[in-house]
Amino acid sequence: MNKKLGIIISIAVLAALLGGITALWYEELEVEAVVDTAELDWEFTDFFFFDSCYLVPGPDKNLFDFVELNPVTAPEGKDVGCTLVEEIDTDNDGDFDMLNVTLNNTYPYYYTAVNFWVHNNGEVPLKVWRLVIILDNGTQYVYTENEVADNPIITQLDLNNDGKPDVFLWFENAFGDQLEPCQTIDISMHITVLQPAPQNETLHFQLTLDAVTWNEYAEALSSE
Amino acid sequence: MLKGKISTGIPVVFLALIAVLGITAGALALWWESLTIDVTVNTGYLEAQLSVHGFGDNETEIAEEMGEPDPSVKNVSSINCTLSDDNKTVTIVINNAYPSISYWCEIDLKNTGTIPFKVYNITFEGNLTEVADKFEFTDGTIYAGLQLEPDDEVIDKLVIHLTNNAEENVTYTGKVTIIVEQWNEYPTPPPTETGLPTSFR
Repeated sequence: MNKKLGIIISIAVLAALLGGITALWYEELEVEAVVDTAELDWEFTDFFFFDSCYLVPGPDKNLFDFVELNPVTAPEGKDVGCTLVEEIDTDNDGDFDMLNVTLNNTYPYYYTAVNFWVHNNGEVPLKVWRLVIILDNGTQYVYTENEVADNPIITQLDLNNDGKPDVFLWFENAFGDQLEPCQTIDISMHITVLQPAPQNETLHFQLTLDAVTWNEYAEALSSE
Repeated sequence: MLKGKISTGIPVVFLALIAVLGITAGALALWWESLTIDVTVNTGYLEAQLSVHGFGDNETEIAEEMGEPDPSVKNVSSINCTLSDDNKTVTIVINNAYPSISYWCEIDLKNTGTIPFKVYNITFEGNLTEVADKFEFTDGTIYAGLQLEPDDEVIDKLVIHLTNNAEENVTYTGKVTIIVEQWNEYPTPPPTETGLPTSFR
């Protein structure tokens, strides 16, 4: 009888001890991390250009002095060629990410200029990194601060693969320029048709202007 | 244990490679965005064409002035002006020609291109120039410096008048070349096949 009672009491004590352990007070602390990344984004906002095909007809500009970049009104004030510029949102994200520049009925020394505004509509500061000129034959010319320092990009492009330059391009150097969010800068581009350009043809080239986050500009330059 | 592994050499290289890969991946993956400028240049074209509006001579008129009863019998020579298929060349053939008769061909010069041009120069060549006191445009409408806008045209009379220096039964040839060039570079010499024009400044 006493033995049975002892076993029962022992079991009860053990059960009480186990119950105490499982019911002990405790509390967890947690660290939750949420990383909300910003967006690097920029866009074309506005532009101005010479010799519009849509506005009141005006005399063409000719460029003979490539050193001083000094266009003159075409002799006798003739209005023969004209220029069209339009903004396009290629990916339908609400930003104009492409400028279409079309020069119509041009001739040697016909000159036009396009001044465009780029706007940082993202959330992080950006820096203008590089300009890539892409010809239809796949040739690419990459320009950064490494290549041109503070000078403008001045080049002649052979667009029809005949070994002769067809277009003179002068592109304002904005490399390293920093745009804070909401900030806008303007960049200008000058184009002149050269004498070897073929008659009655359509010549085409494309430029891409790349920006990187401001803190990785040096890294981007060194990664070339 | 770690110290021992680093000191073996191979793990150090391995770690260095990982570090380089990390840096490179960082560079390649950095955030960037492109804006594109698409440029299309449509060039115009410069083109001039000729056409023939008429031709003839003054044999009959002279015969009338001289009181010939039947002037038509004096019409012994003839001129023919024909245009090539590309409208670039007018061929003038005068048969049975003789001195002191004026032969003429009315020639039309038209700007069939899309940009204005100016006549850079007009040259007269050949042994015809040696025996003709007139081998020229006489109306004064086609001349060096003449400017034609697209679709504009002018007509002038090319007159050939032989002197008595012309020999009998001989074929004389002449050639008139009209060079036109884009208006904004006149009077720069046109480009040559061997290089850029002198106006390429």
